[in-house]
Amino acid sequence: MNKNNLKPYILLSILPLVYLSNTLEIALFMGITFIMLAAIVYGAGLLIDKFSVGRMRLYTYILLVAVVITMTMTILNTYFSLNQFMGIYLALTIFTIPQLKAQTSEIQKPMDYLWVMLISFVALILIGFLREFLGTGSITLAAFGVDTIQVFASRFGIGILKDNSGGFILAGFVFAIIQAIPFVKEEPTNVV
Amino acid sequence: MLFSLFSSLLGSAILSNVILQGVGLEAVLDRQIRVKPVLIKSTLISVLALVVFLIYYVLLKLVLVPLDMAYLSIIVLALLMIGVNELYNLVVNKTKFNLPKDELFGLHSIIIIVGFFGLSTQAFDVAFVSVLGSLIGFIALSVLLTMIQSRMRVNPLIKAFKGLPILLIILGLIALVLNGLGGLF
Repeated sequence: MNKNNLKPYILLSILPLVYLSNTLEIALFMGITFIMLAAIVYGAGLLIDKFSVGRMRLYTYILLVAVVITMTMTILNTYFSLNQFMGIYLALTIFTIPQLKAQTSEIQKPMDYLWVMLISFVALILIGFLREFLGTGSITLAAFGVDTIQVFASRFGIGILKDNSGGFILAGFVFAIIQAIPFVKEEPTNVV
Repeated sequence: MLFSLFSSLLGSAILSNVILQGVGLEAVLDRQIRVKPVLIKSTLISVLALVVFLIYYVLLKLVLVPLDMAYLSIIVLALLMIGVNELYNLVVNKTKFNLPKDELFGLHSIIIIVGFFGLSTQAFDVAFVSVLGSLIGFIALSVLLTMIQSRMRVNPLIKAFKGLPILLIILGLIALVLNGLGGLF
C-alpha cells in the first residue's frame, strides 16, 4: 500500500493518547506500551483473520485487546503508579486497529503495520516532548534515570500546553506536519 | 436543589466533556456536514453509552467490587459493548425507524469511556448526573463541530491542515474557552 495513504490511520491510532501524554516520560511510557501491545494484537490478528470473518472477527479482536490490556495493566500497576485512565486510553488506541482493518482491506503487509506503529510512536514522543519542554522549560525522565534538565525558566513556558487544550492545539500542528511530509514521492498526474 | 442539579449537569457537560478528553472524535470525523444526521447519531451513541453505564455500574457495585475483581472491568466493558452492539442491530432490523444501519454502530469509543468514569468511588446519583452531563456535552460539541466543519469547506485552508489537524486546533480553542467557563461551577 502507498505509505502516504497510511497517514489517517497513524493520526487516529494515537489520538486518544494525546490527552494523557503531557510529559515526555508519560509519552515514552505509553509509546513503548502501545508498540508492544499493537505488535501482540497485529500478530494475533493474523490468526484471527484466518479463522473468523465479519462482525465476529471484530468482536474477537475487541476481547483479545481487553484481555491483553487487563494483563498488561495488572503487571504495570505492580511496578509503577499509573494514571487510572491509562489502561482505558490504551484500550481505545488498540481498539482502532481492528476497526481500521475492517474499514480497509488495503493494509495487508506487515511492513505497513510496522510503519504505522513507528510513526505513531515518534509523533507521540514529539507531542510529549514539546508539551513538557515548551510548557515548563525543562525535561524530566526520572523513571529512566535522567534528572531534570532545565533549559529556560518555567515562567517563560507556555502554560496552556500542559492542559488538554494546549495538547490538542499542539497535536493539530504536529499532525499537520505529518500530513505535509510526503512519505513516498508521487508523480504528478494530469487530470485534464 | 434543582439549581445544584442543573449546575452539576452543566459542569459535567462543559468540564467532563468526553470530546475534550480526546474520545468520541471518530463520530464527528465523518464527512457529514448536515446537523440533523449528526444529532441523531450522537444522541443514539449517547443512549447506548448510558445503557452501558447503567449495567456496568450495577455489575461493578454488586459483583466486581464485592468479589475483589475490579481489575476485570475492561473485559466486562468490552463484553457490554459487544452486547449493546448486537442489541442495537436487533432493534434496527426489527423496527421501521430510520436509524443508522452501521453494523458496528455500538462500538464507538465514547461508549467504553463513559463506563469508566471513576465510578468505583462515586455514589450512583453523582455518577449518573456526571455521565448524563458529559453525554449532553458530547451531543452539543458534536453538533458544534459539524457546523464549524460545514463552514470550513468553503474557506481556503492549507492542504496539510485539512481534516483532523484543523479539527484538533479548533477543539483546543473550544477547550480553552470552556476551561475558563469552568470557574463558574
